[in-house]
Amino acid sequence: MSEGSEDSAELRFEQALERLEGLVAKLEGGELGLEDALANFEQGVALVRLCSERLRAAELRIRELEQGADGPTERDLELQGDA
Amino acid sequence: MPDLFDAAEPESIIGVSELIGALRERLASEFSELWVEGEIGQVFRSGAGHFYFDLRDESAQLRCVMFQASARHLLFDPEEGMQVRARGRLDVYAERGALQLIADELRPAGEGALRLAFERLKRRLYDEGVFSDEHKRELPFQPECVGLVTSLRGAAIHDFVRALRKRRASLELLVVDAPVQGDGAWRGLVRGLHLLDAHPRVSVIVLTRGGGSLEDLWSFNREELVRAIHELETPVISAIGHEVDLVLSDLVADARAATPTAAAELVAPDTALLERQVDGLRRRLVGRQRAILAHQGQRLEALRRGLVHPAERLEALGRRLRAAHSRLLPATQRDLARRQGELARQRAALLRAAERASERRAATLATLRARLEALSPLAVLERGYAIARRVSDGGILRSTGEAAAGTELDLRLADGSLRATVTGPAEDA
Repeated sequence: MSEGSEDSAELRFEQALERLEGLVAKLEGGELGLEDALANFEQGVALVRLCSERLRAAELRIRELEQGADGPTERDLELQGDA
Repeated sequence: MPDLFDAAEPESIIGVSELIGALRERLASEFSELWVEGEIGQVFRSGAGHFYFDLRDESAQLRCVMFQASARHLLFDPEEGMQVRARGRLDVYAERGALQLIADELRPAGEGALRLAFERLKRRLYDEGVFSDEHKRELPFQPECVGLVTSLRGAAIHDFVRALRKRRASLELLVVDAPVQGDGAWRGLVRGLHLLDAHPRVSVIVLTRGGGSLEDLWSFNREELVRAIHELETPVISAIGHEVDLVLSDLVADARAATPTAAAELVAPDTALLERQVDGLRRRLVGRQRAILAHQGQRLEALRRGLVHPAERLEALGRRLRAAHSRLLPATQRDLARRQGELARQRAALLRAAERASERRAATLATLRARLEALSPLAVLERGYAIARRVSDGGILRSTGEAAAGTELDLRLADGSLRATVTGPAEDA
């Protein structure tokens, strides 16, 4: 699991989802020994957790990008009338 | 008719320049900003980039000039026969005393003319392959940073952000504020696109504005803008106007969205949908795991039933032993009693047999003794006989020749023995 979580920090949501789909398909394919099935299951649970966390952490950050005299500058942007 | 020479001196006379000057002043104050509509007549473009053309209708004609500073903002190339609207001020070209319109803006008049200009440009860019699919780039599935080129004062950004929020999109939105209509708006748009294209985090760019007339949307038909989009590294989504509006930026972009809201849906996957997807996978994962565990559990249970702990086995053996023992003890006792009875009977029988045997033996013994006594030499001795034996070898003498003179003899009589020595044969024998 520790190895998996190191991986997953780098994992994009899309990749995590793909990997999860692969794991589930493998488990559903049967023919896995109990240890392998358990290992796959644990990895799958970690991926589910990762995906769920990513989705839960859903946040929209809005910033304005401008061409300044010394190159592009960014600043947070508040939109009026839009919570 | 007044006599020419009699005529009174005019009250005031002014020079041509003065007149023209006065006229220019009047024009400047009364016709400083106006829109004139007409058809373009002859067009001449100077080397310096100024446009000279006539505007005309059925019965009149007006000289027009558009200087390079304004001409470079033109949305299209003015051509003879186009119906246009020109904005500018009236002036007199003094050297020639000619009235002219100094135009600073020129737009195709009416949808028809604009449509014509649009179709011409579209055809040309299409033939060049600018719109071909092989240039289209793929949109990222879940971009972490999205660039947006639009006006901060427009409705489009609000629609776009509202749609993102509704989908609970998780991303960073980098907005470049740009004018989305009017002369030269395309410059700001192109600048914005380039700014975002050069940004390291931006993985997709959305170009959007709300609906408007073809004229309002004209910046998005601007050739420079179309070419800029075509050359960007980053994929671009064009979402201009409403469903029915089609502009050239839509054609050249990697994806077209009908509205700003649709662009948001295109750029960010729906979080709720993804959650359902993840949840579905989670269910399948857990369900599968349960099935595997249940199956293995059954196998294990079956094996466990076959596997008995030694203590349990000992216990079972102990139970069997106790049961056997408890059955054994009464049996033993019964057996013992039976055996003892048998033994007693045997013993009695044996005793009786022994007694009988003893009696029989006693009788036989008496008979035998009687017979023995009858046969015994001792009985003969009782009757006066003696048995002579050589002392040397114990041999019984049956003949006189068996004992020479001097032989020592043992004479057995009925009550004992006598020692005798042979002196020789008797005379009378």
